[in-house]
Amino acid sequence: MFSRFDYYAPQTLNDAFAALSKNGNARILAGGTDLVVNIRSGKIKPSLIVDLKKIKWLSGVTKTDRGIEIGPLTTMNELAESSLLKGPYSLLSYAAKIMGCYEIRNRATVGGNIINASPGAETLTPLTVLHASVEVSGNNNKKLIPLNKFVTGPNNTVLSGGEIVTKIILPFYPQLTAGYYMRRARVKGMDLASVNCSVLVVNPNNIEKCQVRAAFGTVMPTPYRSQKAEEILSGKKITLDLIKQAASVINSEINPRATSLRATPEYKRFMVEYFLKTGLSKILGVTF
Amino acid sequence: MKIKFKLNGELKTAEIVSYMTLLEVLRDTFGLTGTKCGCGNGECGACTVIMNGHPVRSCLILGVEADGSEIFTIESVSANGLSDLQKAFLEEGAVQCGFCTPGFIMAGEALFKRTQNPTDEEIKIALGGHLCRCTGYDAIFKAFKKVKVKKTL
Repeated sequence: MFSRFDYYAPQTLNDAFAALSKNGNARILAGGTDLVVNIRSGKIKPSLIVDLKKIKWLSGVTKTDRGIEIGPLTTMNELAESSLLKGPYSLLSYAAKIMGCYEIRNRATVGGNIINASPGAETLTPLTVLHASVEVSGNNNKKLIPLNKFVTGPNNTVLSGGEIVTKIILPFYPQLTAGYYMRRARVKGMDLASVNCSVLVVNPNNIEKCQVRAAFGTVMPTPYRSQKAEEILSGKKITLDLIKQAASVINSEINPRATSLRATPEYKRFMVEYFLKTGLSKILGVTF
Repeated sequence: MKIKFKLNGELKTAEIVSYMTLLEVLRDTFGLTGTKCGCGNGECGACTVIMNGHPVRSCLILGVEADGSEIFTIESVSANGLSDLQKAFLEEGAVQCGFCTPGFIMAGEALFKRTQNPTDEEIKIALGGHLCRCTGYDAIFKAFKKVKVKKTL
């Protein structure tokens, strides 16, 4: 059924780097829910699969002095159930909880989700508004890249062949910071998002310090945030009029592609105001 | 490549090629044809097995990834007669062509291991990614509810 490939499951990161540097046509395997589908369809034809799952420290959610650190091999169900992803981070665990279906969520990983970088990837907009950084390790170096610089286009990241994502790091937030993840799909059950959005309000209880962030999926090749729209909504009492202004700014900046299988550009544009209104209303507990 | 794993409670070894799915290993190497291949892309749920305690799609897992794991297939469920869920499926008429049934049963067995008393929402989440083109899901949902009632009495 498959094109032929070799399989290697290293016990350490150094062994993984060694295997990747020896084989230019190697692919990294995490959960496999995208990779195996792409191999079967012939979209990719790797000669070596490097399975990272035996490197146990690449999995799990921990709290350190850097923030909340998420191992790239953490599964969607583990994100959904993590006791550390509450409060400001709960929109991420909610997004993980509605991705795919239960069995997929037992395998699909957050690292795989961001590296596959589908424009509607479930974890991308939550991680974007949470200002996630991606720790990328190479053979002899390690660097931290902000998520919005990490993802460069559909199925594209800055990751080079020999590099491995070793952490996803979320900064700490003031206690009352809250977020909300929303998506629309063609069916209620298992489907990719036609359009999705994450809204985060930092300091919702303090009008002067209140900062609104909103990231939209599938309206541009990568998750889209409008600095201008966020400025309109931040630092003041939010009204329906401000939301309409922000939505109109976003709509003047985005360019949803017409060839999407899941939603028309008109629908995605219509959803911008709806998502902002719903997200802010859920977070702030007011109706607009 | 050599793999060694626990299959339906028994330690097994096999010599397999690295480019086989777990589903192919179960069906072709071990002859356990109760697990079905519906779509082969993780969309339909017919190939669901329980791996290390979690229900997973065996068509999206490489056979070599099973090395060191513990796997239960539909054959293990009725090893000592029908399970409560299987009986409920029969009583509710939740089976027609039967192709999707092993997947639904495995999702259900895993659900009832996680929780004895699932809410309607939890049942729907467990069934979410399983496709049935005959019964229309209502009978399947009722069968799950019936087990739930039995288990909490």
